[in-house]
Amino acid sequence: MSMQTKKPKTSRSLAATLASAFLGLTLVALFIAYIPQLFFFIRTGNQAIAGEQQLIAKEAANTVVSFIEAKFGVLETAARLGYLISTSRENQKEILASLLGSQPAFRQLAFLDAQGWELVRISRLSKSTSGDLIGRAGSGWLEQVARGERYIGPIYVDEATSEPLLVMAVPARDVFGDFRGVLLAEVNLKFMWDLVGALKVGETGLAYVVDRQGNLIAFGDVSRVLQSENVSRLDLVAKFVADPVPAGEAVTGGFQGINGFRVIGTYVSLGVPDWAVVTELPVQEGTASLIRSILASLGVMVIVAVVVARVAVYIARRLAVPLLNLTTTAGRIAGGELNLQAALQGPSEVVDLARAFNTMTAQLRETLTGLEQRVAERTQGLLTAAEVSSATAAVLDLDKLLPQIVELVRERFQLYYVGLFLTDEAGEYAVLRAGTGEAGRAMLARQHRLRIGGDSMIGRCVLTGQADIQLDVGEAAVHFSNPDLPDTRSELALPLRAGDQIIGAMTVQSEHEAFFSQADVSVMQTVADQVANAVRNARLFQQLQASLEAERRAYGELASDAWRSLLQYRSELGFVSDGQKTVQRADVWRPEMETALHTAQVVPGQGDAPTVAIPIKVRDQVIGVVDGCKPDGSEWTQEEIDMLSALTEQLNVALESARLYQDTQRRATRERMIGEVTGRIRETLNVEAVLKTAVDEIRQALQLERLVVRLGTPDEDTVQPAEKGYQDVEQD
Amino acid sequence: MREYRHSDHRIKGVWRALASLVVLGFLLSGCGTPEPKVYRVGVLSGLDFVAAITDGFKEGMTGLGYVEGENIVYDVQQTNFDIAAYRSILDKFIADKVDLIFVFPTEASIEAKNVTQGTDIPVVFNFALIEGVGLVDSVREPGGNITGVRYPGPDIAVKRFEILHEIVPDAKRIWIPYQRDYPIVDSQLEALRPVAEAANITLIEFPAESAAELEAELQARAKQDDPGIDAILFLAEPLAVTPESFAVIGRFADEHKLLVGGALMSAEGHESVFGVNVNPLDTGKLAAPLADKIFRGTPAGTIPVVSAENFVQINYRAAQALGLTVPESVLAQADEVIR
Repeated sequence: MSMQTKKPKTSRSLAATLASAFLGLTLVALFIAYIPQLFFFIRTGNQAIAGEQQLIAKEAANTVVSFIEAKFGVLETAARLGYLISTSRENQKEILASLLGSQPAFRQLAFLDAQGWELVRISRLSKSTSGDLIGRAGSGWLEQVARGERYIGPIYVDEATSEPLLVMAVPARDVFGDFRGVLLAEVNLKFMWDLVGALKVGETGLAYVVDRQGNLIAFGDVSRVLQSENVSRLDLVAKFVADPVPAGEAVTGGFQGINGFRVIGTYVSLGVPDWAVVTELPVQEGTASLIRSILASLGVMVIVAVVVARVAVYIARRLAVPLLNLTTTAGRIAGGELNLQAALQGPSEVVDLARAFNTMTAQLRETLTGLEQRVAERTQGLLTAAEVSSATAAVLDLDKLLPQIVELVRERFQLYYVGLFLTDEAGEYAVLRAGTGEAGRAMLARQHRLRIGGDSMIGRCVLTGQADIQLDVGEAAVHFSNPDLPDTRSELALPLRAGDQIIGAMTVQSEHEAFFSQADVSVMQTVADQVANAVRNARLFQQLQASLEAERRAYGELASDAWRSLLQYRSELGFVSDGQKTVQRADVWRPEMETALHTAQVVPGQGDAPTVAIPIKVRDQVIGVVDGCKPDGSEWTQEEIDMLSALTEQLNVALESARLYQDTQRRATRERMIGEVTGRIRETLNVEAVLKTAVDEIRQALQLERLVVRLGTPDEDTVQPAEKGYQDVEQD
Repeated sequence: MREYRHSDHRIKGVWRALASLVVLGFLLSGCGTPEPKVYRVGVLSGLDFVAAITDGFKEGMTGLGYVEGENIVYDVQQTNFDIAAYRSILDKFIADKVDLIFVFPTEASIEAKNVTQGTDIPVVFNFALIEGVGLVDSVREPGGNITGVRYPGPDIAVKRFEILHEIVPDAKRIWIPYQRDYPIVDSQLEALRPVAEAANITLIEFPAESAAELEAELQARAKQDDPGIDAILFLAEPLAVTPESFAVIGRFADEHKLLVGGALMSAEGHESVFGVNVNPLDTGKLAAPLADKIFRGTPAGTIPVVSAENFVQINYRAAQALGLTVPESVLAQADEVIR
């Protein structure tokens, strides 16, 4: 199972945190102050936009009204001329023609009498296509005009041109003010298009005129007028169609405009005619100034925020830089630059912190220095211990080993004196076995020893198995009263521990006061343990050597006994080979042979036929002699003697092996015979049969002359001399 | 000396990011402006008599923001009542894949409608009668890919007749020359005949192919003691208003002290007395909003046809030269009086 180590979250820097906090607080304060102002600002702005739109719409309405009023004005001026009523038809025609010529919007003009009969009519078109002007005027117009009122008829569309037209009528009076006729005009509203199209509503706004049914009658896009488009689907127009406000009043609202864009629109009801002028201003443009104002105020807020941010950063740096510098210093110290000092600058709290930090750093530096020294010393001690162990591994002689150890320890640890004590066999004294310098030799010479359990440090150390340390001569002068070591000021006694046993102690002494520490005790104890192991190993080696020697001696005696027994039993063992034949002979004993037999040395012979007698040795016992004679009578060379000696050595081994084999065969035969006899004895379960079988088989197996087996306890009567007893048997 | 720089880097990074955003905003605002389109308009000016229509159209387009050479280019091809030339010019426009064809008069407009069938090139006509020629489906919904400015139609011929009758009420024989088989003549004559009949006036209709044919006819009449003509009336058609034809007619009229009216013309010192027409400049301007609307994406066939207004011109000087008295009622209606 794998464990995921969660990466510690990285905190922001102190400067950034402080700056963020300052900035955040400032922004919150700004927002709290700004939002109500913004709300009020938007509401006021919307009201201003609506007011402005209404003014524009009323201005546009005035333009349309002025167009209508102008037409009425022209007609009324002409009608007021008494001349029009009283003059001839030709003059009346000329007057109407003049009107037609001066007013392009008039398509036809007619003068009617008080009863509504047409007196004169003039048209911009041909008479045949001008149509029925009176019929287009609608109904009730004559009565209205007769009452002295103006009349404006409903809008109708010319079939040929698709242009909107209407009929206007004004009364004609004589000089007395009496109603004498009607001046009728057909007005082409296309001449109002340019006026409406030219109305300026902001930069991209527009205006149009609708009738009471919502039909478009004037618009910059004349195509839509020519199509007689009904725009009552637009919210504001629908309101006008449903319930128009009184003439001259305006209604403003937001809606989807005539071109499909979201607009701020206003309509103004004209009253007479019952049309409305609608203005539209795209929301984007209408609210542009408001948005600009909001953005401007936001910009001011952003500038304030930026200034605050800069100030916040400055203050944060002022506050944080000393701490950050301290952090940097700490990081560098952690990286190993222990001699760095934190700068004492900034606020007093930071200065105090830096001062404390410097103190802590100094202590740390001292501690580290001490630790390094102690580690070095410990390392040196351990190296010395390892060196002692290495040096003593190959030396098993205590007389050589111990002096080496004391010299090595004294030299490596730069000590005044080192001595080694081993316990005696009785366990009463710790006897000095090695010591450095003249003092050591002197004390060895006088067989310096200390009682175990006595007042000496060594005595206590051996008894308790614990290290003993004395660091000041003044405190334990009694322990430094040895005249051979007058300069000793510090002493350390260390037990030599070999398993559970304390086999002695090692004393290390310095001429410096308080030279040893507890760490030194550990190191020295390690050295002492190595020494103890070396001593124990040497002792074990000596014991092992002694045991081996004893075993070897014991085995040699056994072998000698066996050969003595064999030679006593087979005294005729000996062979002679002359090149022709080899025969067994026991009577050949020359003097050189006897000499070699008794001296166990190679004895060369003298005379005409030089011989050499080489003893046959088994387990250092001479059991025979090999005697050789060269056929040509020449002298034996040393090489020849060595070769014969080597061959004799091989003979020794072969003879011992053969003897051991024969001995083994004999033992095997005996074991087999015992098994067979035992088997026959166990073939029956009858006691008498067992005894009989046993006495027979054992006697035969051992080829005895006779054998007696008797059970039970002999009575005095039945006890007979041995000889007699056997005789009875023979008789039986 | 400040030793710590970590927070400095972070704050400088924020400033750099803000500056980058501002620069990026400027760059993006510049990148968002599309390259303005340059519209190419093929103009077929098919009748010298009203060639000023082109000027009116350009003026109207300029007023709408189309500046020649900047966002609009005109390929003006002018000819004078040449059907073959109409076709070759229109073929060129189609080959050039112009964005719009502006064309006048009626015959050229009909040709334009026909040759643009199957293309997506819109046509805006001008100075064209629409009644009885199949140019549009209706005034409100022209249909196809065409719209334009309507010539007032047959009514204008009647209006001309009425004015002529007011100036020379005694004239009972009115000679009417016109281009033979010109498509819009019949509708005018049909409107005119009953009016003339009601006024007990005889219309002497003379279709011809050229000025020479007119001259031959007039010379033949001149040889007679009574040429049989009391006044000469022009219809809305191209033959009479060509300078050659008018010179022939004017010469004959002056020789016989006859009124020539209908279209205001002058050639070789001969002048007509009055004209009822449309103002070429004004009618040209009327076409501009239509083209603008097409450029803004509205299909031409859905844009209603607009109508030009009558424009009455009286050559008072010519009338006086003939010893004629122009009634005050006629003068009062005139949009222009030439003295």
